[in-house]
Amino acid sequence: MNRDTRTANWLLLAFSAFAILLLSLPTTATVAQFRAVLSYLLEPLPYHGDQLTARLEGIPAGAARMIESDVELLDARRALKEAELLKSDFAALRAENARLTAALGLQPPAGRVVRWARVMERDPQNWYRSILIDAGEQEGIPLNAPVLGLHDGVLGVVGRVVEVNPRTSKVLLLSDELSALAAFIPGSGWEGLVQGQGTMRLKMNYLPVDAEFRVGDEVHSSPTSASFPPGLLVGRISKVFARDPFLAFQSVEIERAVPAGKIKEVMVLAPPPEPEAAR
Amino acid sequence: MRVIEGALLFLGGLVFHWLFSTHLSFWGLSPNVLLLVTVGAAATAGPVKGQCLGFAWGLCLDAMSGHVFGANALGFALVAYIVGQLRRQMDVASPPSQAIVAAAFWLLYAVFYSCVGLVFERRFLWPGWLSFLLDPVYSALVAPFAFSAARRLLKT
Repeated sequence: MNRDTRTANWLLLAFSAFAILLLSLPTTATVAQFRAVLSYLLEPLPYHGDQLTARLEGIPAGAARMIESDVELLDARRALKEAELLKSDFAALRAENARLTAALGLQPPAGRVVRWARVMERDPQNWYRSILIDAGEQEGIPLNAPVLGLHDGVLGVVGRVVEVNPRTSKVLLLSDELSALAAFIPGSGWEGLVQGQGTMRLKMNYLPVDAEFRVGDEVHSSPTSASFPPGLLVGRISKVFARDPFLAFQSVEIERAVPAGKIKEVMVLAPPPEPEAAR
Repeated sequence: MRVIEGALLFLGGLVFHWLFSTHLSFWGLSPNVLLLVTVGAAATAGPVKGQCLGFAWGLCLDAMSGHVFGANALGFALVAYIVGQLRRQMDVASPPSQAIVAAAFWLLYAVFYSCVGLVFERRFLWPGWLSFLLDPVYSALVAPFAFSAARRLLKT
């Protein structure tokens, strides 16, 4: 055995022993950590990537602030639009509150039960004829019930219920051509018949030809009215027509106490509920 | 072997191994350049120099791989010892014989490495059938160049 062979044998023994020692020791995890550190230090990508990230650190923050500002601006604009809607809602609610507060101080006619309802719908083709309210049979609204309205703190005649549905009712306005109401003028005591004209104004017929009337005289519902309680304000005389020699009566034009275009809520006068014992 | 040439061979082997493992790898196949150069070094300069180079390259491979640390070093040292002892009986002068020797040692080395994993890591580090069948071919194709480089740098 020559020298090289002996050296090779000893070297193999030494390398094998060292390698088996490395294999036996739990060195894999340590080597993996060392390799990771070495890769991080030597590989250019992590180093330059870190440098680039540090250099550009301010730009993403500025961009993020810009985006946040833009989002806040959009939110603010949206909130402003909602505020405008809320403002209009608030104004409407305040007006409604004022009307209802005024209505609270009113005394309903004796022997009647008050049912308040909102105006739901108005037919544009028949603006002075009828309205739809959000109360019906379930709320105790009867057919032919008188309907009153509030204007300037005064109750006035609006019309009567001509159609009752479970949750809604149709009200025939006094200004409809088919409406008629027995009324009187308190100043002179004369009674006549108020009829609708299909316009804003009403007409009161069958007044004596020799009676004198003044513009502004109030007209109230008559005790002879079949549907309406007596004494309810219908309107005021706005015009006294010239006497017609061919007619046996004279007429006056009446401006309604409750304008049809201003009606938001109405008061329906229903008969009092029957006592339980009577049923 | 002069120190500078040995260092050049060591570093060159690492660089080429990295080159073939990354940029010249096809379908996951790559030759074990360090094993080829170890065989070439042992066949050219004997078992002592072959073992020294092989053990150093093995440690580098172990450091870069995620498996049992020391298996490549032991395997390369063994391959270098065997080749160095049998170099008188082997013909490694012509490229075909170099290719055959390279392919044979690649297979032996793969089996040995898998068995070391079975002993020390409780699992058989099988490279897969595709690699087991085709990597020796790829290594055989590269072997003449590796043997030539080793001979040029180590032949005194």
